[in-house]
Amino acid sequence: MDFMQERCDKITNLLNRRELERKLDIEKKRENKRQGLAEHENIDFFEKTFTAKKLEIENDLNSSLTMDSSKLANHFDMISKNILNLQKYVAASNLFLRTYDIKVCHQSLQELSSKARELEEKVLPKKKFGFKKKTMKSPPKHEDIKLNGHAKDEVDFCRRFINLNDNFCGYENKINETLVLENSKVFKKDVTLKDLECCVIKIYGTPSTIHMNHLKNCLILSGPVSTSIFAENCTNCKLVIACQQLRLHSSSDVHIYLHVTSRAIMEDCKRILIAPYNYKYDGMEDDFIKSGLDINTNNWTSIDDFNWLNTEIQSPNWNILKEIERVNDWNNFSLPSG
Amino acid sequence: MGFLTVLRKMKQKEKEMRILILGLDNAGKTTILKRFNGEEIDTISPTLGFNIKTLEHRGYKLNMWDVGGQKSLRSYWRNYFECTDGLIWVVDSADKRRLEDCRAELHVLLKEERLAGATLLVFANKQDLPGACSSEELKDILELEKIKTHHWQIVWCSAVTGQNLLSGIDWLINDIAARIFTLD
Ligand SMILES: Nc1nc2c(ncn2[C@@H]2O[C@H](COP(=O)(O)OP(=O)(O)O)[C@@H](O)[C@H]2O)c(=O)[nH]1
Ligand SMILES: [Mg+2]
Repeated sequence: MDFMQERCDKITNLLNRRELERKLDIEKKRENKRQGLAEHENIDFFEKTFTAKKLEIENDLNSSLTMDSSKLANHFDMISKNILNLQKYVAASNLFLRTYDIKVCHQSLQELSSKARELEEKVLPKKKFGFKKKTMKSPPKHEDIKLNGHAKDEVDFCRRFINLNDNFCGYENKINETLVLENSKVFKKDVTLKDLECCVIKIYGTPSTIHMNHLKNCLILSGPVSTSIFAENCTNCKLVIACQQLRLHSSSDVHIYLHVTSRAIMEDCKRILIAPYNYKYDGMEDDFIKSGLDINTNNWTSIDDFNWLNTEIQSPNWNILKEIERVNDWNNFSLPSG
Repeated sequence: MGFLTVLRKMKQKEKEMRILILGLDNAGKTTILKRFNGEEIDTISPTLGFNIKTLEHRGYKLNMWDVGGQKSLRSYWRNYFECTDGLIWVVDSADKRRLEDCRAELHVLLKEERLAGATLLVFANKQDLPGACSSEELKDILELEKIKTHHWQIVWCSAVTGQNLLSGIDWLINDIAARIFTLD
């Protein structure tokens, strides 16, 4: 009897649990749907509000042309406040707005501001002599802060010599070399790789940051970098890198095997192909721990192209490197000659 | 509303400061803002657009604006100049390659009429990196002594360790307060 009872209980338990799981699953799906909807509603609502406010400001701007001149100063004060508020509204909505929306809003705001400025200069030329309520708050004008008797900064805009060689860590001006930077040399350092051609650079250990500039036909292999990697003017290179942020500028034909814990951005780049980081060396796990990078968080596909506004369509400037085209073994890899 | 309440309200309102954080991309602007606000800094992405934070500090309400520094975004900086009380210019002190660029951008910015009168705090950031320029060196390289149109100060710091951030911000607030809230 006892035995039968036990079996029975077990089965009931099992059934109950299944039922619960099923319900939870439905609830979860429903919640997901609701969230998706809310997000959509958010964006809709934002767009409506933004457009309405923008229109309001445009109307105010237009009405300044026919307005009694005594009211103009206050009127423009109000307009600039409204623009400011609209800016704040965009900023507060940053979270759920898509990159594209943000850019569009920026552009609208900029147009509004410059239109306001133009109009203000046109219809209110003697602004300086107008009475303002908040004289205490407005910052002193240029004329009021002639410290040491100078109204303007006397800066000559010629280039100055900056000594780059103190504490230099890295390589520059090399052709056809294979070079290795060891752990102790790079630990917490700012590594520079500059003006290199047909070089293979291996970096073991954890630099704080790496700067790359003017690299041609190079292969760069690096352990985890605690903060950011900043690369510009790289052509026809392979970068196998791990970092917190990647910032790639003015580069083309670069294959990046990437581990990035926040995000990567690119600006003025073409033909960039991305694959997940696949460098392996002894002590790599330890290096990840030392660098503070999470070895399990890799957002290698999270790439923002600053030159590509559209979020619906993939940027033409980068793509994912096809699996069959990826290099898997870096130790036996050699740069194509020529 | 009684007269005193109105007065208090006005004062509260006046204790607001608008602070703009600018500098080249990768200088550490967002990290400084988040560190100052006590937020997580490991997950910071390069800024696309801008961040705004309103912080309470020493009884002041600070509206901090952090705008992306990428070349394609610099033209948007102008959007944010209006009503700025304080400008924080953040420098990556270890990035000697771009100090020249940094100096040029700063001085172009200071010519902007709408920023006239704003207090300038230059943060010599990333002092934890070996080989970072000292604030004395930066004063020279960035030609700060030539700035006569703004109250300015350079303060070294590290956003990663948090060192010296507070003393920089405190100087900025004191300078702005002395200029603006003279009736207190
Ligand atoms: N070593 C070091 N790295 C820093 C410091 N401040 C910021 N960083 C790093 O520099 C990179 C760029 O920082 P971020 O705040 O995004 O720069 P922004 O473009 O000026 O907003 C990030 O990887 C940060 O972790 C610092 O004081 N020391
Ligand atoms: Mg930023």
